Order: sequence, then structure tokens, then C-alpha cells
Amino acid sequence: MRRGLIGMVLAVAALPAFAAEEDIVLRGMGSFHVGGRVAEVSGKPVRMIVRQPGGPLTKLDPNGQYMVEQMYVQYFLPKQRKGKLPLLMWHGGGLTGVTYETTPDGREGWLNLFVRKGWDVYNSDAVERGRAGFASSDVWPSEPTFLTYADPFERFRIGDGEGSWSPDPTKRKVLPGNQFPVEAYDNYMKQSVPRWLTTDNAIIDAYIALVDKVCPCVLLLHSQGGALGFKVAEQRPDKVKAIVAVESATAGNLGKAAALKDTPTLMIFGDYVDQHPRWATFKKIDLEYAAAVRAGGGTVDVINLPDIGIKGNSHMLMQDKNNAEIAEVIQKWLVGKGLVD
Amino acid sequence: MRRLGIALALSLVAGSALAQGKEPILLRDMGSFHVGGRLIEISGQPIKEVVFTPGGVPAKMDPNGTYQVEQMYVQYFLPQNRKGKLPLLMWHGGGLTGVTYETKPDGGEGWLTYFIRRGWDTYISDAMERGRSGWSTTFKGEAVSLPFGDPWERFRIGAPGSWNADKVKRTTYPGTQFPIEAYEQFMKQGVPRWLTTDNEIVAAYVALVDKVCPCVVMVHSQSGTFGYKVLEARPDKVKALVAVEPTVGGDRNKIASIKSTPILAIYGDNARDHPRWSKIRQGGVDYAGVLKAAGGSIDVVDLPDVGIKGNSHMVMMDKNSGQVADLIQKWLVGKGLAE
Repeated sequence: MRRGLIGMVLAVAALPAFAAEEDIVLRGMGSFHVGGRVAEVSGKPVRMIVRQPGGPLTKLDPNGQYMVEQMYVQYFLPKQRKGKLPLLMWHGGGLTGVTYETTPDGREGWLNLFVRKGWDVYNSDAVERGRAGFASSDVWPSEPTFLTYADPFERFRIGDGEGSWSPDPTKRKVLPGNQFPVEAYDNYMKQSVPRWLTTDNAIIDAYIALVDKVCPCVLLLHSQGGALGFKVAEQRPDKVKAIVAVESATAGNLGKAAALKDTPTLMIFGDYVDQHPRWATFKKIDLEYAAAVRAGGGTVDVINLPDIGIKGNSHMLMQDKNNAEIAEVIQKWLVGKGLVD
Repeated sequence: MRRLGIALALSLVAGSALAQGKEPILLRDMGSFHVGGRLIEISGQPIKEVVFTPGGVPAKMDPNGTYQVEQMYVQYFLPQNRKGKLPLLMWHGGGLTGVTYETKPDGGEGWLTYFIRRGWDTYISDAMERGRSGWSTTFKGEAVSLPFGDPWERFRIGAPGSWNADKVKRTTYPGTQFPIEAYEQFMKQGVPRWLTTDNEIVAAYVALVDKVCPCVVMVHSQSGTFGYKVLEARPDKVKALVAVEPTVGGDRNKIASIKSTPILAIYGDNARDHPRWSKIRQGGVDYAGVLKAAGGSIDVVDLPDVGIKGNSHMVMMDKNSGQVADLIQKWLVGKGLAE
């Protein structure tokens, strides 16, 4: 009882200290959209739509010009800049830049942590996601996909494989020592947005427009953002000065990997990757790409977090409870590459 | 002439220091969260075949199951030197997101950083269905995208008939403050909008108000109706309402409950004469009359009447947005809501 009380007092005392982190001092912050094109919709029939619940059918003429395929970028520029180049954070599939903001359980995410480390951070929403907006079915004929509430629990290595999910939170089987804040799983699922499966080229075009606007830079990529980011880097090797690929879900084109010979790359993988059939496959593809980059004269460092004693990480490393520790691993690598003052 | 020149030079210096963000922004914290929403069950739908990678092998996709829907995204910035006595919530208009209040299409500082710099804890959100809030297939009807030329006339950049696909043939209202050279940039901020989701949007805003208020709510355009509905639902928590070109007023049957919340309604230039806006504005003015007669507190400001000319519907993006923000800040100070 006595020990319980002391523990509680300590925990309470620790909270204000955490909240009273040092101020974030910015020399600037803002946002912009980049890329995109004006699409012409023509020859489509006029549709009848209901504009208000219970209201009458009214005419909607879908023909005309529309602004489509732009992307959204928000930036934070610390007053005391230490990163030598802008750091661009690109999220994964079905997600937005929110990935890097406050974690689902309310802690600081990598956006704040890297701003605090002195990086000019550009956090974005890919074409079709979040504040980038999406085009109508007249411009993009394919349908978007939606993730079920259960899907990432098993697929992102929070739960212990297939069958680990249960609608009843007390019956969900979490991987031993998992670092994902499972108590905030519902908040995580609120971050997901629809994803199209036919828009890769449009997404890449906008990312290239972003790179052309703000780089030379460092790319921090996650999951699907890895597959897209490597392809962008292959086309702008002079502007992408380093890549940090966090659980890249496939990589670039093997035939173009040599383009990255002067772009040092770090690949990071969390825990239980080799045991999970899906992630073992992605990792294999990533490592083949790494080998191709090396064969072309480039350098790729691969860190399996469990190998350096960092255990239990899910696919959403930047939201895991030890996200600050992993940010430090990345920072150390960036320092080692001479990218930090 | 000489005096005018000096005054102009001084105002330019003051304006540019802020606009270029020369003074650092000190935050005691910044972050984001999602609020509201619910879980729904989809069942009885056929399994679809989808191709995840172009040219790849089709995979089966079962759309049935539980989905998270109708949540709302909120990003907050808490200045170190807090001067606003309550949080300031910024709600955007139809077919748009919180980006409305961020950097202006022409690159100037928007109202988000204006109000952070004046010491307001600022909560900027994307309404349910927009931007980072995400959307779902459960909405009735379909999403509507804004045609490229549509806002030009409807948002009073130019008068009816002034739009032309050819840039050089577009005309504007005389002295428009909208940065027309950045019109395309503004259109990049547009996102699709459903026309059947008002109740879900309001539910998420109420969840936000329950989480972070008492507060001041700033609304624009479509969110005027949401601001009034949420005020009527939570009159004890919304301590002031700043309505920038609201498209609708409140419910005349609920006036008694909101009498103690001061309201500022602002209209830009040409609102009296524009065929659509003259009706919208008149509706707002009539509502204000009824509210006042019942003992409520509302100030209606037509910007041209106080010497601020040329404002479009997108007041916060206009070249003189800082001048209008000054007017709002002054009103808030006058209501004892800021130091």
C-alpha cells in the first residue's frame, strides 16, 4: 500500500515535468500546396443528385475544369537550426502527415522531436490524402479502398498474427513486449483516410514538384512512402541528399538503384518482421534494393532494431512508446553522415 | 504628402516584419488529435477484386466489417506568451479545410499565425469529411468538387459574368483585395464536399467543444451554420462567436439560450450588391435584429462601412487580411477576452 502510494506520487510528479518541455521556438511556420494540374472533364452526362437530406433531385453538371493532384505541405522552421538540410516526412498508405504528429496516446511525435532537434521539417499529405484533396470519379475512375477497424492490428504487427484481433479489447492478443500504445488503438484508427490504388504516378509527380521546390533535402519515408520516395530519389538524386526509410513497403526500381550512389540511405525495421510473412517479404524486397544500390556504388545501412536492443516495435514505429529512442537512432545516423551541425 | 509617405513607410515596416515572420513564434506546445466519430458495421456487401499495384495480381477485398467513421482532425498551437483568455477555435467553410487560415495563397501570413502571435491558444480543425479528418462511404449522396472557375464569381472576386477560362480576360471587382495572381494556388486548397453530412459535422464539433472549451469560436462561410448550431447546443461553453461571412444565421427559436454570448458578424465588400450575397447578408442582418431585440449581443460590421474596402468572401486570404484580423482582435479585447 505504502509502495503503491509512493509510486503514484512519483508518477504524478513526473507528468508536469513532461508537460513543461522546453518551448518550441520557430523562425517560421506555414503551409502550401504544390504540384497538380487543371483537369478537363467533358462529355459526362448531367447527373441528378440530392443536395440536402430529404431534398429534391437537382442537376449536377460534372463537366468543366477542376484543380486536381496537388499535395499539401506544412512546415516548421526552428529558430536554432541544426539540420543542414530540410527534412521531408512522407507517410504511408491510407494515412496522412498526422502519422508524425502527436501520437495516438498523446505523446510528442517525430514532427515535434525533429523540430526540437533543429530540423526544418516539411510534413506533407500525399496526393489524394488529407489536406491534399482528391479528384472526383470523373477524373479518377477507380474506387478508393477503406481499412477495416481490425485490419492494421494484425497487419501492422501490433497483434500476434492472424486471429489476434478481437472486437473485445480485453481479448486482443498483443505481440509480447509490443511498443504500440494499444490503449489508444481507436485514436490511431481515426487517423486513417481512404486510399486509391491507381494514383502512384500522380503522387510521385507531386512529390517531385515538392523536391524541386524545397530541396536539397533529407527524405524520411514510411511504409508506402518508401516505395514512392525511392522512385522520387531515383529521378532527383542530386537533390535527395540522404534517405531514412522506415519499414519501406517495397522500394525503388532495381534497374535505377545506381542513381542513389551519392545518396546515403538508412533502412530501419522494427520487431517481429522476420516472423510476419507479409513484412518478411517487404524486407526481402528492400534488402534486394539495398544490394542493388550498393552494387551501383552507394551506401545503405540497415538497422534491425531488435539487433541493437530495441525490442517490440510495430510497423508504426513513430507512434510506439519508444518513438523518441528510435528518433535518436535516426538522428545519430544523420549526424554520422555530416548532415547536422 | 510627406506625412502620408512616412506613415506608409512605417506601416510597411510593421507589416513586413510580421508577414515575413521575422519575430520568432514561441510555443509552449503544438500537436494534434482526432475527436468524435463512431464505429459502424458494414455487412452483406459482395467481396470485390482489387489490384493494389498497377499491373499486379488482383486480390480479394472483403468490404464487410467494422469501420471508424465521422471523426474530426484538430491541430493546436499554444503560444508561450498566452494573452487570449480562452482557446480560439477556427472553423473553415464549405469544400475547404483548416488550410483556409494557414499561409495565404500568395505566401503571406494567414490568420492562424496572426492569432498565435497575439497570444491565442489556437485550435484549427478540418471538419468531419474534410482533409485529415477522412471520410467514409456511409455518407448519403455523392461528394461534390468545385469547378475551377466557380469561386471567382461566387466568392466575389469578380462580379457575376466576370470569370473567363483565359486568365487575361477575367475581370474583378474594382479594388479587389483577393490575390488574383494566386487564384490557382487557392483552388489547390479545395477538397470535395458532401451535401448531406451537416449533422455528423456538428456532432464532431460538439465533441471538440466538450473537449477543449470554454472557448471563442471563429467561423467562416458554411461553418457559420455549424457555429450557431454548436453555440445553441453548448451556450455555456462558447463564450464568443466571430462569424466571418456566415452563410446562415442561428435558429430564431433558440435565441433565448444564446443571449449571453457576444457575437461579431463581418461582411466584406460588394456583399450588399452581389445577387447571392445580398440575400445571405440580409438573412444575417435580419437574424441579428431579432437577436438584439431579444436582448442578445451581436455586432454586425460591413467592412466597407469602417473604411476597409475590396474584401472578397475569402477575407482571411485577402491582401488586407491583417487589417481585418486587427478589427477582430480589437473586438475580442473589447469583450474582455484578451489582454
